[in-house]
Amino acid sequence: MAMSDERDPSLSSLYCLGASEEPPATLDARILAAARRELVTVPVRQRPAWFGWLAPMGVAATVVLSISVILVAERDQPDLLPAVAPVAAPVAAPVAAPPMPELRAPPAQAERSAALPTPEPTLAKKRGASPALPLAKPTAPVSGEGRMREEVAPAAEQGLRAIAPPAPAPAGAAAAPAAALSAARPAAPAAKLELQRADSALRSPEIWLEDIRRLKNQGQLDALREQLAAFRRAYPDYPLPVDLQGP
Amino acid sequence: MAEPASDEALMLAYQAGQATAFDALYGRWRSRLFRYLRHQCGDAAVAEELYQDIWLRVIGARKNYEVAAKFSTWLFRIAHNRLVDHWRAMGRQAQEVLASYDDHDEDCPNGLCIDPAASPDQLPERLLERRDLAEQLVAAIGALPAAQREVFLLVEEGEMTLEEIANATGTGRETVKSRLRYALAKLRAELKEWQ
Repeated sequence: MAMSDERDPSLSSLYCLGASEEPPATLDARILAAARRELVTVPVRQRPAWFGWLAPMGVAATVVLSISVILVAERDQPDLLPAVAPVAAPVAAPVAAPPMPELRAPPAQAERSAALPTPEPTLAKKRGASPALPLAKPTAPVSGEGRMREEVAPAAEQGLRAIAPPAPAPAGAAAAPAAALSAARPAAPAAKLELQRADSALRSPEIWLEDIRRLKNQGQLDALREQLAAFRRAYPDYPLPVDLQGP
Repeated sequence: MAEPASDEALMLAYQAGQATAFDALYGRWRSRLFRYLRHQCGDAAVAEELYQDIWLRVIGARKNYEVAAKFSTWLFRIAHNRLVDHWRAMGRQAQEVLASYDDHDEDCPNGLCIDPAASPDQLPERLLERRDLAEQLVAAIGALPAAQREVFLLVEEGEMTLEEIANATGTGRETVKSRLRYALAKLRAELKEWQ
């Protein structure tokens, strides 16, 4: 028995004799009824074992997803940033109108378009939507992004004067060959070619050359010459295939 | 013969949904808890009210019950806390009661020990005398300071050790021991005087 060393056995037995109070039967019934009511109204649900892991797993999944999104964004960004990075590289090319200024230009061309005022504001607007490809609008920019382009553009022009041939084509003249090319072709093939140009503009030089070769095979000599000229302007150091080096 | 289930096992069975387990548990402790409250309160009506409230708390705690201590320790801790709340709610009338819990320990005065060998024999005339003595003891218990009375009742009704009482009442073991020695000494003195 507990407290054997502290209890007084005689007092304990005397207490047991004297203390005989009992709770009323009605109280017993009330309590027992409450106990049974508790079982009916609030049954204890046995949670499955995995339930305890639900919150930690949710947090872990959120963290993994967030990190994945960040990594993907960081990986994709270099694909967009080269449009800004090669600012100094393409300045060696003679400044002229991009091959298809009304459509998307390759990143290098886009940057040149950004550095020099172009007569096609639609292109600038399209590129302006992407922060990774900042382009200057023909009108005076007021945003911070525009101010940055203003600082970049004179530097690019200075580089052009130092490296490139001294007679860059004016902007107005740059659009002329494209307009002439468009007028020379029938409407349907022209639209098709425009699409091809758009595609080639986004593709590598190899794919662009494939398109040019296709023009040659189709006998579209004017377009061929135009595309070759544009290609040389965009990639002056890129070796042309033998079959495209001829007249 | 199978050993009866422990109080803790019965409470866990009730937690799992066995109403009969609670019936058995209630049967074990109903009288003890009621007497503890009855002697601590003095008022039968208040004791019944507290008694019901304590059991309802036990029932309400079913979902979160864990075996962290003996069931009796847990039960009488609820009872102790409920009693303290009751006394606080009584305001000034309870100040004396609550003050008894703050008494400093003292050396136990010379206690008057009742020799077990000298306990009343089983003769009928002696039994009647003994019953009178038991009533006097109950009256003496009621005259004890609340803190000492509580320790005595927890020993007798709860069959708790000093450590369990200390755990249930939130006091130190030595304090409990001192209170118990005080209580026993006073009760012995009362009985000797009456004899």
